[in-house]
Amino acid sequence: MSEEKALKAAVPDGAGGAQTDVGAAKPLSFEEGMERLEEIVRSLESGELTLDASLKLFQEGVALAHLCSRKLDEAQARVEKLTEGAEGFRLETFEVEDDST
Amino acid sequence: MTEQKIFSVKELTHRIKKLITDDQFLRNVWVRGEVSNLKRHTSGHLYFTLKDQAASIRCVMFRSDSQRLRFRLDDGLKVIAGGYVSVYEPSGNYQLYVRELVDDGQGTLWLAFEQLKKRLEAEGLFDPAVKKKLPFLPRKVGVVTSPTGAAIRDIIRVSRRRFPNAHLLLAPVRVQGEGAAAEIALGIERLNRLPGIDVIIVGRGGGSLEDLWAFNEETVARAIHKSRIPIISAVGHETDFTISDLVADVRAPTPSAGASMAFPDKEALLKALESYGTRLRGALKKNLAAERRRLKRLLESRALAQPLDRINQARQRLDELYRQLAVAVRNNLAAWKALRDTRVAALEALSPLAILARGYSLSQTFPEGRLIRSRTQVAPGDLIEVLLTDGRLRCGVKEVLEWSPDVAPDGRSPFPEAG
Repeated sequence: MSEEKALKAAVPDGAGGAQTDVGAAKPLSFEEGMERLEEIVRSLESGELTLDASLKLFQEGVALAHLCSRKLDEAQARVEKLTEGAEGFRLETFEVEDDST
Repeated sequence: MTEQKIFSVKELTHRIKKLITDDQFLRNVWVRGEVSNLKRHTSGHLYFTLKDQAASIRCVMFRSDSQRLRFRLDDGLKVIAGGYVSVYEPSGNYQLYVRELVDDGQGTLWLAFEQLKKRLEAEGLFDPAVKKKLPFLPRKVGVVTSPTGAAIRDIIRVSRRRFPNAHLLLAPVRVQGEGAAAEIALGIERLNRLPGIDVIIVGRGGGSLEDLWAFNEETVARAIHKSRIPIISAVGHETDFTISDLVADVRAPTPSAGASMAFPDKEALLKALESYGTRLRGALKKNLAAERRRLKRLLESRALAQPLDRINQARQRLDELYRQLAVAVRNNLAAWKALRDTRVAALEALSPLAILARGYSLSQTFPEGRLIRSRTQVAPGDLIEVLLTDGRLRCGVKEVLEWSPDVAPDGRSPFPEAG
């Protein structure tokens, strides 16, 4: 299992891993967030809510929109290569040859 | 007539067998033909027929020999069989006893493909129910392909276009030749042990069947099946279908298409979010406006207006009363004033001062100040005061006289008319 350890050493847990959502009891995925947002917008547009409910839903909607927007920017733009060396595995930046299509 | 010897079947068969087995040539012969009627005995022996367009010959390959086969025998396979011919006496068949079997090249790869496909399908590796759904927004995308070549370049280019902050992790492997399949399988396994990878693209650029062969190998198929991370198989061109494509969770016709499937269109998502924001605000504004209108209608409705109306009416009545009171007071006051004025006038008329002003004078005893009404109140020599409108006279009485009959007390007075 030393390869296992070596691999883990190359990419420590938590690097680019799941980020807990701020203030969310159950972290929503991006997809779930968008679905809930769609529900909220439909509800609000139906016009059948009390003012109190409208305000609450609006707040939830705005929070969700911000959350989803943040999630889109979470990933760090990079291309890495898994290389095997004498000491184990490591990640290198991967350079692509010039696009000459 | 020559006496015909009558053989037994056994004897005849034996003779035929001897004829055949004595032949040097038939003891070691190589035959090219197509396999058909293959039957696998429980004993492990193989029974089949080799044929070409003109003839066929029955074959048997014993287990000890068939175990050494490097491929799986199947109907339709074109082979070259090496062995000896003999006779199986009980059924009177001459047979080719096959010791060695070699595939005859043409179409063998295709057949191997078909064989593996059937076998894995039977095991359930292609079952749609087993396929995993691709994540909507992957944090990291693993790629198993050659570090050189068009595939990785295409994947990177398309990924960045779809999703500018795409994070890719490449497990570099050889994608053809001896040992490629093992490397590909290992690449998949290693990526499975790293955290944060949400989808893996396995593939390579286009090529011949031989070039793509690694992706038809069983080791790769099993590695894909075992992967807990969803796998996109992106091998070759649109028309190339490999076993990887069948086992994977999703098939992409090309590596570029694979990248498209792995990442969502960030631009479209941002636009969708913006649209939601606009709709949220719009809907809230509308709801607020509707509430205001509702409130206004409520306020204007008869139910609510009536109490106000009654209050207003009461107010109005109160004003009326005030006015009436004021009027009444004014009127009364005028009346009182009038009365007062009359009385005052009367008073004034009666006032001694007024009398004096008219020219009359008043006499008073001096110093007592008693009004003299009668001649009996004074005697000659007394002092009296005569009051005039503008002053008084201190006088002494000279005579006290009675009215004489020639001066009537009826008004005809000797006094001159007051001027």
